Amino acid sequence: MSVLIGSRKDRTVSGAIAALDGKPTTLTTGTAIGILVEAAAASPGSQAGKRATTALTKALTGHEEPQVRVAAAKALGRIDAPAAVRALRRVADDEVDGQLVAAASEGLARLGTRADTRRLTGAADRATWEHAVTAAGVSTRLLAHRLGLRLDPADVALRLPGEDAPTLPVTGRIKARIHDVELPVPRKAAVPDPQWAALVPSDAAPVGAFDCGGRTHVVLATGDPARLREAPGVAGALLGTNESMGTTYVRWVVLTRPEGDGVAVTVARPTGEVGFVGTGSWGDDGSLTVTVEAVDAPGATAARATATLRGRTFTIDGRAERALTVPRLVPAAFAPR
Amino acid sequence: MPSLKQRAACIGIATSPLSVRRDFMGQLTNSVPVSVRQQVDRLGSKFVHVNCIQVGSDQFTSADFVEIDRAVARTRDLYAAAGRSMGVGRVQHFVISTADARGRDVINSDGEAESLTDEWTVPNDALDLFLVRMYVGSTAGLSRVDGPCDKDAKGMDGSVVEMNAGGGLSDFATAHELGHYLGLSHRNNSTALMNPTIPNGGVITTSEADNMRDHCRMKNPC
Ligand SMILES: [Zn+2]
Repeated sequence: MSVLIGSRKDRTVSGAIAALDGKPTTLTTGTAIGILVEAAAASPGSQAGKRATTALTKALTGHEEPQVRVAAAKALGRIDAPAAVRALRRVADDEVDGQLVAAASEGLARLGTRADTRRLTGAADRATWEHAVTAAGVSTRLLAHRLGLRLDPADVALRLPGEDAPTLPVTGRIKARIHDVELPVPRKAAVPDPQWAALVPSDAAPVGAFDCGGRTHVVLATGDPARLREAPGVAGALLGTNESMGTTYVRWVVLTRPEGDGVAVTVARPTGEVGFVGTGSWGDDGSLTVTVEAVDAPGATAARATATLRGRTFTIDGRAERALTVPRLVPAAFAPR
Repeated sequence: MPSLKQRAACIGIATSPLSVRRDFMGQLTNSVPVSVRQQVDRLGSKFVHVNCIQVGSDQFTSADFVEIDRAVARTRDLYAAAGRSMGVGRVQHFVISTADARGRDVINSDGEAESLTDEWTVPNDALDLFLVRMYVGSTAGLSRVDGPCDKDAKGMDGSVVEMNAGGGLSDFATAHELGHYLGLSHRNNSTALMNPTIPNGGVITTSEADNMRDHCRMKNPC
């Protein structure tokens, strides 16, 4: 659960703009940017939406704090409006700050068009910071899936981080079952918030939910799986819910590409890190059955699950180890300067 | 009266050499007034150890360090004033560099906050508190309710709180999010620490305190 910050008066587009301008308010900078992006994503064409987008583009280029510029870039990547896309393209084309390039790439993966694949490949070639190279490469790949474009599969830059890692066999003696559950929210609320909508196929709808890893995942699936036979695509997404705020966010996206008679499946974070890989096959009735396994990554748990999408019906069954299989990373002890 | 050295040993801090402010109080700066005597007393109640993890640590400023110190001091005060008194025991500091954070120094969604806690932990008996300078969203932190104590457990393990450039309300946000982890849900009352909005009155009732004191992260009094 989380906590809302700031007074009612400050929690407005005007209040958020004042906070970004350095005026004293009850908002944190991240909250101010969050209020602007929510307003703009909900109705990009409205007066408030345009004001919010303009304020974010101003923060992107003009704010003195590097992390505020990065946060503004990430925020613009959630607003499906021409002004936001233009601002992100300028960053991808010209910017030298790797963190900004990485943030703009993430946004273009969600909002960009075919022409942006070349732009992102260029940004990946130009970037010097390792994470920016990765982020731009990842974004090219995500964008290609979103638009159904074929990319050269031999291009290693287009592999997602962890996609080639070994999978983790489920060997632990004590296992937890991965199983269907009721939707944790009403069906009409089981949709991505407007700011995450671009990560999910426009024809996707909630088809069910399942528990895994101590969390409930809401499953959104495309209404037209047949298109996945022809070209890379996004089959759907797994949403998390913030029950205290009544909001949703995309936890995983399910990417497929044609392979043999079926599809190769990659389940990745919206930022590209791979969690699960596997394969899928087509049933005579047009159903799609996929089996995925967890890949070796910090904090990963061995898991194997098989899911079937038949029309708007989703079923899943699988096993996961009870505890983490791969330890988490350990932060360094801090020695004060 | 128990001695400082006894209390330090009780919370697992090496006593020679012992920097009272840095090690025993867990303060990074000399800017926030704290009472050592009071902290010695407070360790006579149940308490929780905390790991403060700076995410994108190379971008933290001295104002941020003061803000972390204030968050620790405020959480200690609010927990001590609860319907049944509690303490914050050992506070240690850790860092994840901007490069190692791979973009998660600016949290862009609740999903990224989850990923951060999925990927990182300090393997000790303290609650992980991830401090980020930027959490883009209308909320200023995320924690699961009644989080696990086994650091090999799956799912979100730790609390994430947004800093605010040396000012703001991260002190209340810290006490609030740790309250979630220790078992509390929201309570709609402007005086309550667990009110879903801050600023608020910071009050923890006796029954809320009992709930927190039963959490597996809570240590028995020294
Ligand atoms: Zn809360």
